[in-house]
Amino acid sequence: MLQAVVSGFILGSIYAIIAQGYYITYVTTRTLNFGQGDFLMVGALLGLTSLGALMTSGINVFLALLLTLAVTCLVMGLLGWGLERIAIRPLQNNFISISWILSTVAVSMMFRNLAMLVWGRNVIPFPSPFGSGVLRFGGVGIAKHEIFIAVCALVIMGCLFIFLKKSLLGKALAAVACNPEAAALMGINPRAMAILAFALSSALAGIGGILVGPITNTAFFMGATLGLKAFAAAIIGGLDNPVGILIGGLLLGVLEQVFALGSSAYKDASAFVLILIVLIFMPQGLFGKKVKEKF
Amino acid sequence: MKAKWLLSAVLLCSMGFAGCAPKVDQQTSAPAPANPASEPGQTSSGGDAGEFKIGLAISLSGGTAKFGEAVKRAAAMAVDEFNEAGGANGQKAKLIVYDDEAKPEKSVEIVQRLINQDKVVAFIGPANSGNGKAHIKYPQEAGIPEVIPVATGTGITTQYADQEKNYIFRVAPYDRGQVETMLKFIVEEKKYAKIGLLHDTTGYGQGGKADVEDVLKTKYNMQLTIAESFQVNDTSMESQLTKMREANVDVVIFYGLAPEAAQYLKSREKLNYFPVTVASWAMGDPTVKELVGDLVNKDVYMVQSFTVDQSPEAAAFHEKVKAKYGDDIFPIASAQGYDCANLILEAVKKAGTDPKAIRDAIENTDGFRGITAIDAKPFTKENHEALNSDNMFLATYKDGLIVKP
Repeated sequence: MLQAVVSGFILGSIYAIIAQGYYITYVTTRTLNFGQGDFLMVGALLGLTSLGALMTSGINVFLALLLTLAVTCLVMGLLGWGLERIAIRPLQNNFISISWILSTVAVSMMFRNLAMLVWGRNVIPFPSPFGSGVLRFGGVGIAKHEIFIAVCALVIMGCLFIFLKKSLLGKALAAVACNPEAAALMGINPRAMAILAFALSSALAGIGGILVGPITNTAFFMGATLGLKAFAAAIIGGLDNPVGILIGGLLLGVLEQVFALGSSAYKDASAFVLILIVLIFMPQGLFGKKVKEKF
Repeated sequence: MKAKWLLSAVLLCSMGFAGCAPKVDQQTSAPAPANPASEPGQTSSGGDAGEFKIGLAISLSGGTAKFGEAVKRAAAMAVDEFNEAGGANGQKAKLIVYDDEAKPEKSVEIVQRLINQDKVVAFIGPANSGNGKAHIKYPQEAGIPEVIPVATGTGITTQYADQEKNYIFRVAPYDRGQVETMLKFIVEEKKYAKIGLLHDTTGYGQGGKADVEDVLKTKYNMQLTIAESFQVNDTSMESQLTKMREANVDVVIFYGLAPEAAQYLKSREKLNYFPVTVASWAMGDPTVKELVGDLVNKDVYMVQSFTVDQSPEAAAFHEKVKAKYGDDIFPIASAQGYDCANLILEAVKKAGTDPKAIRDAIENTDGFRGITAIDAKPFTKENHEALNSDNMFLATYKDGLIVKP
């Protein structure tokens, strides 16, 4: 039981990191990238390739890991920028206001097939830079890499909160979210903010990919389930509340593992039943604000 | 402005598609027609009357590519050796290789091409059971013998068993036979009573579960203590394993494919719980070892038809493959592919190049010396499975090598 809870927390913190990506773009542009899972996959494979290259060139493990994170963030950020320009902005004020849903899904499918061509169809081992050692606390085993994930998740969330709540740029993002016209009048460029939001969101997916790679093994199809689970976490927590998303992610991770103790066949079903229940009784999510729009 | 953007985006997308779609096609289909020309099995004798063709229809790309590649290398080696030894009645063999990309529709296409266009006398393939089920009616109708080196789906060789002549043979551990072998080891040899089953939720695992339950009930009058399932792409199997531990099982039967087998072994390590594990031959897939390294070494048994230490011939064969290709990427698939090719070549030596005569000769093969655990007389009219629960066996990893326990 304890083991399930611990594993659930680790898994949940990954969901939460990916789900923060949904949050950032949702609050600034009211759109989100439905291909977040496939961006994560690209991040994982990129990370794997660059980490492998750096490790063989004989650089210190931690330096290699930092460089990998930097490279992945950069590339994923660029991809996010491209996504915003190609699949979001041209379609945003289209007469079908939901066309961005299809366009982001289309982009993600392209990425999936491209990744299949580049990295092949096989499952690729992603050795954790910390080795495959397992630490034991009482009866609970935790892989070293999982501790790294937990620490990373905390650090990333912390940085993100500080950035969004305290920094000028973060406040500009929030201002655009609140009222784009007024923000534009104040000298904030809403388009630049939208690009920033998508770049950040994609970079988060990339980091998530590197974190989760050694646990799930990497392959071109790995993104679909993870992206969906992260979306579920965001919905459960409330799309416009970052703390809610964190709690939603952890809740989902733990519940999944605990449910699997009961009957493993219903593990994934349990996650989505939870979403249904939340959506029926609290459509704004567990921690979302109830908002009534005034006209 | 908006319209312009939209247009350019659509343009860009379509350009992207136009740019990659044909390339995708070329990449996957171009090698197929080009392949026969550059096959190592080809000899310099040219296309005169002194040559007969053997086909190989297997996946060289896709999920089962590793199996296909190993079979291709071994079959090419068998054909080369046959030609160097002078062939049959002065006739040399030529191997025609096509890639089925692990797709049933592609498999049907290339099997028809082998039969109608290349006029092969017999062929080897496939690696995927689904592909086999999709295409076996063509060789059966055309009267061209097929020997299966990898696909393990139970029904394939018995599909035409009621017809006068069944053209489908197999040198691979078929699923039902694997289950019988596992249970023989567990119940008769090790005398375990509490058996747990862990299977995936795909057709493979579900079929495995049905087979295990059926054999346990009809043959041993026993029942599973606990049966748990997992999904493809599951990140951990800790909860399933925890339940196995609570149920206090003597042995866990693992029935899933390589990536999940790797997850299972990782979860064992994490829980520090190492039950004796008996698995289907998928556990012996080299991918598992690539994914988890040393974790394969602890009390893991899997069904095999070939280990490098089972006989001097097996060891010699393994060395031969390594000498020729630098590496034996999938030893058991190599061995089965080699035996498949040799069964056909021996039959040609005896019966000439008429496909129907070759079929009879394969069925009546006697005194065959194979590399796998295959018998000297592998087939009868009723039985077209060369490997069955009598000669399959359980092997285990020792220092990263699959050996007899």
